[in-house]
Amino acid sequence: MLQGLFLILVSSALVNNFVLSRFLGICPFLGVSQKVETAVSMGWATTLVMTVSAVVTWTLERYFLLPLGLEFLRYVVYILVIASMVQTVETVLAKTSPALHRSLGIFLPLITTNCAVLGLALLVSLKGYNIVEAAVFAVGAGLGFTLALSLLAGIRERLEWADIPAAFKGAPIVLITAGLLSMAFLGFTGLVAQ
Amino acid sequence: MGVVQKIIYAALLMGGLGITFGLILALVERRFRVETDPRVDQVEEVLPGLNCGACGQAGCRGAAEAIVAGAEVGLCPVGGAKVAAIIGELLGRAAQSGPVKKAVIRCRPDLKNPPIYQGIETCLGYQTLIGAAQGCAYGCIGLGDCVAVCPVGAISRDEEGRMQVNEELCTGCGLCVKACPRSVIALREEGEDLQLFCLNPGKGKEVLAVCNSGCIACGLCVKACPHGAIKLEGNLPVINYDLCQNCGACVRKCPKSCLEIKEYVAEKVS
Repeated sequence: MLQGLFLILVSSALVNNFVLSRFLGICPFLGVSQKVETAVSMGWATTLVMTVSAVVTWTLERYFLLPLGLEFLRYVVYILVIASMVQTVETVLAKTSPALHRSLGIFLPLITTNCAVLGLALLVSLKGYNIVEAAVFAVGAGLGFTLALSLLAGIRERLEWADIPAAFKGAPIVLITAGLLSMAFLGFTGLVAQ
Repeated sequence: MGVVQKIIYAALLMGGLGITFGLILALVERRFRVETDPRVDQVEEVLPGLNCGACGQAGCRGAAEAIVAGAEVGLCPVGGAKVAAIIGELLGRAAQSGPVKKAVIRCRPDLKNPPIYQGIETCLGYQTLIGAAQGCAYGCIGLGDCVAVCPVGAISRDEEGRMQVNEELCTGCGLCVKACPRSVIALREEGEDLQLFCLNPGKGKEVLAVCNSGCIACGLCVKACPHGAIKLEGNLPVINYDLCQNCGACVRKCPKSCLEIKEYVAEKVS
């Protein structure tokens, strides 16, 4: 049981990393990866939203959508849950940490449209996890997202000082870096059976 | 399960969820409400709301926060003296703005051979693609980057395709100065009435080859000036405003009409 949970965690964080293997959540991956500090905060915020929304959507799916035969409402319900969650996190963050709230800027409300969060909720229902597994899967996904974000942010901070050809400055070199990172993560394939 | 039943269930579920999340959000909002200084909203109301960033702050909201936090009331260069006065009244602080500068476009091109250019219709695009290859390399390109960037619409193109500044509208924010890829635009202060409308530092023959209205460095203005206010430096006249009396002797002598006395027009306060 415990071993199974650990495998789910490792699988969702490393092997099937949401950003670098599933290519979900690319928008904040490129948008909020200029500074490690902000990237890590963004990662935590997304992890929180992911975990809570995975648990809530799992509950709704299990006790409302399936028994009532309303699976077709899945997307709408999930988006509603995610949007409310994000709004809650934003309100709390604006009060408790205004500086972080400002540095995340538009990307905080944009967690709503972060496909990694919706993708996670959909994957949970697709894989038929129980509630504990769903929560662990979400935490793993969030950790993987944070890891990918802070890795890229760390590289980008160093790239600031690198002598990059003019044509590659800005977005192009970031995309190339992201591609290399993704290839590096291929090395985890086989660590855990899908 | 019947279709009608499904519809009812779906409506109930979505309605219930909506109400539940609405309540949660309302509670969180009440618990974690952020008190903002009401004066920030008032100041933001007065600011032009163009979010142009000419003040160096991130948009008008940022400027309003900075002003309330203690920055000068005349922080907004676009709003000018008018806005500064209203904000000063709101916050009980006096405006300490200096004289308002006016943008002046220091070229009135009349090119011998109009350049052929079919790229994107911006001065920056022209400068990047054509640069000095055609026409005058120093003068106004005339594709209107300054018109596009001016937040108060003070720059326009006249019938001859030359850029004109409406000084009644100009607030001296300097965005056009930054936008012009050839630095044709400068800001002038009150009292700097005599203006030279050419920037080509070439000798007479070189200028004549490209433009009908360029300064040919003949030096007649230097000789005509009874106050000794004009000197030739690098084939262009340089005006010393401490000595210039706006008599107009140089303007009458200039064979290319590239000197003109432009009276400073103050901003229209409505």
